[in-house]
Amino acid sequence: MTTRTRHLSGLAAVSAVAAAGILAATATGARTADRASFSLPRVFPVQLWKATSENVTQVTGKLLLGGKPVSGAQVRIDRYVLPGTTGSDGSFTYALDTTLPGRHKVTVAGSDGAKVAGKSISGDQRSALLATPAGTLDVTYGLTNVRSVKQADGTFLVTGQAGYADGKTPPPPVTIYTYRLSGTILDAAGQPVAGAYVSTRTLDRSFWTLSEPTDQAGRYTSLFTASAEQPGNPVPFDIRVAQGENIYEYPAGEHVTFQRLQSATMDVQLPPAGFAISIPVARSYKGAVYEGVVVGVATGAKVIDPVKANWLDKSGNFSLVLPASAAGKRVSLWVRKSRVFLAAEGKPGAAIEKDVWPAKVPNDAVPNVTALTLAK
Amino acid sequence: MRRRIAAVAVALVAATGALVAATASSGADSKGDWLTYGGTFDQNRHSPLTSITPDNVATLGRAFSYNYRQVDARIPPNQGAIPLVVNGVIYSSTAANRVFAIDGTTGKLLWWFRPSDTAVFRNFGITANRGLAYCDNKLFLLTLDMRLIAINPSDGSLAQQIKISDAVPDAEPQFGYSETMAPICYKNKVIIGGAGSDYGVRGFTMAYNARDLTPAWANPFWTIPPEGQDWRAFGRFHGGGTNWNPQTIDEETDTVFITTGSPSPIYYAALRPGPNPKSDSLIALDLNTGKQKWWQQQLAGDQWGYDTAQPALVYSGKVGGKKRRVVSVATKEGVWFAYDAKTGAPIYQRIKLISRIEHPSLKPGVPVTIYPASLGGVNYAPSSYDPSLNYVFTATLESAAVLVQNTTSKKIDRNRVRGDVDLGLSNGDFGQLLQGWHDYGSVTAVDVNTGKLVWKTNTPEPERGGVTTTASGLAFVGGGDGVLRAFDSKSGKVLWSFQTGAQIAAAPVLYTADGTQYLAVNVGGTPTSSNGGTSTSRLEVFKLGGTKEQSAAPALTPVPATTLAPTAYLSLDTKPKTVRIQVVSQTGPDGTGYLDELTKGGAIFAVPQGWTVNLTFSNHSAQPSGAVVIPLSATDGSSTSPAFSGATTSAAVANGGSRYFSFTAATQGTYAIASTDTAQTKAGQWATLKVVAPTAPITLTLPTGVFTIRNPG
Repeated sequence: MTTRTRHLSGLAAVSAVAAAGILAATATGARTADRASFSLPRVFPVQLWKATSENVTQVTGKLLLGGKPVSGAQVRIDRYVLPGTTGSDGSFTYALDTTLPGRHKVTVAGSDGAKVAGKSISGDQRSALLATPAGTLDVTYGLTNVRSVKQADGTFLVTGQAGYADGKTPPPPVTIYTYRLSGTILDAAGQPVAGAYVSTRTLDRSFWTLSEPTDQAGRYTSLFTASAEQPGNPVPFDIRVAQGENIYEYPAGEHVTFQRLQSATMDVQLPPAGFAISIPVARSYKGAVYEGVVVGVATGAKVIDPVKANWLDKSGNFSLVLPASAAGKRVSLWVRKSRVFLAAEGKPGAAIEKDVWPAKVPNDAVPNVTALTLAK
Repeated sequence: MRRRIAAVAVALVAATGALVAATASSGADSKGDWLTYGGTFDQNRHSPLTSITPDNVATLGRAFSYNYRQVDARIPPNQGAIPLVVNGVIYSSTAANRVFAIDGTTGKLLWWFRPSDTAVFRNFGITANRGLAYCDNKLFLLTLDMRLIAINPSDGSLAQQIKISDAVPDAEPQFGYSETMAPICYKNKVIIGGAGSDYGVRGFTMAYNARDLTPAWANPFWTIPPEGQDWRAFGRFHGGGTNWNPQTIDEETDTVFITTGSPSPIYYAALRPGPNPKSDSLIALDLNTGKQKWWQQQLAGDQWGYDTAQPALVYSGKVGGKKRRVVSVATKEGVWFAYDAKTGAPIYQRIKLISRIEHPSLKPGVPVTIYPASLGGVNYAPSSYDPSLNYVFTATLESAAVLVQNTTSKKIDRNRVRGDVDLGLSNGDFGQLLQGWHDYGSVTAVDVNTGKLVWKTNTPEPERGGVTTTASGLAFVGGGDGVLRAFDSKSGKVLWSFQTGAQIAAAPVLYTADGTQYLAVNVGGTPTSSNGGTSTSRLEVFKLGGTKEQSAAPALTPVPATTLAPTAYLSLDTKPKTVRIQVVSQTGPDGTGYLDELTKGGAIFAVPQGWTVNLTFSNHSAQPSGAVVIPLSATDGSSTSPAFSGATTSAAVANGGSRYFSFTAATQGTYAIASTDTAQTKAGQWATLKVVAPTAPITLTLPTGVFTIRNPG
């Protein structure tokens, strides 16, 4: 048996999703009549960037209090406070960059001049407005031709195609994002050092990478590529640790070596005052961080753990095998641009390693892109 | 002494384009300030001050100097910042993002500011900072590690700082971005771009509210497609089109003009086919929204690194006898363009400013000589416009280079990832010097009415600083030879020159304080010109009647290789008579143990008698090992008893571990820093330690040379 969903492509698809996906979040604790909410068209398909275009979509949303439009309020999208205030119908307009997949948070930035039906609102109502649950404007790849087939063993094969709004262009295929360098920075007494940066520098191309600052446990991670123009393995790098005003460098000509095109761990212990830093040893291992678009299935926020899932193939096609236990359920599909560490190479159309599959819909995934009901 | 500076509210008189200070507690002449990178928001760099004239410029002399490095020796010895002057106080940034406030009449330091986490700046290949913005009674600084910082001008305290990536996705240093530019603040919007074309970043321009550094635009203006789209589909390290120099404002239309850098891989166009739109371009944006009005590309499909770098200039001038609103820009290719400021319609294109422009297509593995080199032409050095003459003045770099495009296969390039880069060149970032060629400079004037060069004066070294003109008919320019020159704006004749003693890579500014007119310029040059031989970071200020005593010309040859420089194997500690030594135990490919890649004392440390030695021992060999200082005679494995008290790690150290110990080099003689394992020592795993006379230099002798540290006594 085959269940087919709406075909979501282009703006028509958005309308379909928006109609179903109007956000009506309410302020906790407020009386029903004073609950504040945003009414937003929630999902926008990713557009291809054009040099001649503004590359934005004008999005209109509304701010409501007890279901009535709020005028004169200030609205913020991410960190940007919209110029002006909401109109008499509660509406506001935002130029959304629809060329980049992402999730944008909509909040109330100010309620001082807010009115409902032309009348000033009470202090409690202003507070309720400021506590309006955040809305979301989502930009993600559209899903088309989504269908499910119940298989002989009772599992469900869910297939479809992800792509840009033009309906033709698939998302970028899964590719390696970076190798990974990680480790711990300790001080001379063996205590973790927070706020330190590790840098690696190639010897032949003057290129360097910089880690995220170390956390309270002294841990860091960094983009990294153990490669060089010159052949040979291992590959030598200059290493530095920077903390505040202090830089810890290794002697000129003294390098740390890494296995070519592998990830690595490297712990560093800073020296006591007055001593030179000791040169660390890197330990390389296979694998890298891969980036690719993943489509998953959920009931509410709970992810249905698939029996099998694949990366999008080069045409943007996806497939998932859901367990028989999902029979008869109304399920939604989420889309995520994932970055995961894989020991084996991530290839378009290849199976995704099970241990990187999330248990619940991640915050950076766009939920409810479309929905379908699985056969009983 | 700390000096409090009153707030200056700036009103802009659109009809004249002049700046008027509405309030200034000192009553200083408003025309005497230099409030933004180009003097005015149109980037015209044309001072209305007229005290210094062609007739009296010969009496111009040094009023004072200020060496920025005297308070912080970690400030890199180069300087490309253009100062601001507000109410007679000079505000200047330096390389590696320090900020100084200097009294404009006395040269006295009022305060200086150092951002947090400056050690990380040491990683950046170019550490330049080219200036500050001032508005809303705050100074604004962009830092190498992609922060926007607001500073209180009264005392140099930090007012606020944000990460640029908070509003510009992925604009982080680990992705290849850096900030070297001066921001622009107009109508309380702080406008910024970012550098990093070399590393394949995505060029952007963004605006922030000066009040609280929240975004002033809904989105950044991106100059090129997102990663993975269009001509960036080939690989992750493809990008560019960065707006890495200050923006220009047309106050008549609230238009922001930005210039953009080359696409990358810079020297390998085949990997990014097509014209790569909006790289090497001039783009007009709406000030209030960041929305694009128009754009014009100066070089399509660039493969030589010829950015449109310098800030554009906007002005009303006669073109063919008719008054027009014009925006013009020169490029690293060494050519000049002018467009209708409102529509972008071309007026003049590819007007040749430099003497030689030849750049054949690059071919893998084949040396190709190009004129100019990818440094320009016209690099970031800003031009100037004199409305009375209707001339645009430009400082140029007459250069050449030999480029060898690399032969890396497309397969390898396709596998490149975040954290990788390739410029597409196999002989350095800028190619090699052309044998027999010496880069030099020139200063040019173009008549906007005709689009023709009216004068061109050559200078012996590259002009990387830029031009500043005056209403009195002078054009001031500082060059790579350390000489600041005053040209007659009309004729190009050099009327005055002054040897500052250091290469110049920043344009001068003019100001008045306490009724006197001054000229200020930062000297110190840039490592990417003047043969890389920069040595200082200094402010030089001039006035009529100042001292005529000039400095010695700076050395123009590169600093010789590091044979006299200390190395981290051997360095002085901050404590007196204390030296730091590091030795590493390693296992060679044949399983032999060695110390510091040398066996049997091949590395020779010399330490004065009576000094304290702090020794770091790292064990990279497979087997556990330690270090001990023993008499030379014990290298036969006869003893591991330390020659000096405490001169041993005691216990062996596991692979990857380290130990530290200190001892006093009490007695002159020759010793060995050896393994605590006698078998390893006997096999040759030891370095030589000589305890020399108390006044002798501290040295490390290696097969590659002798590293020497002067004994401070």
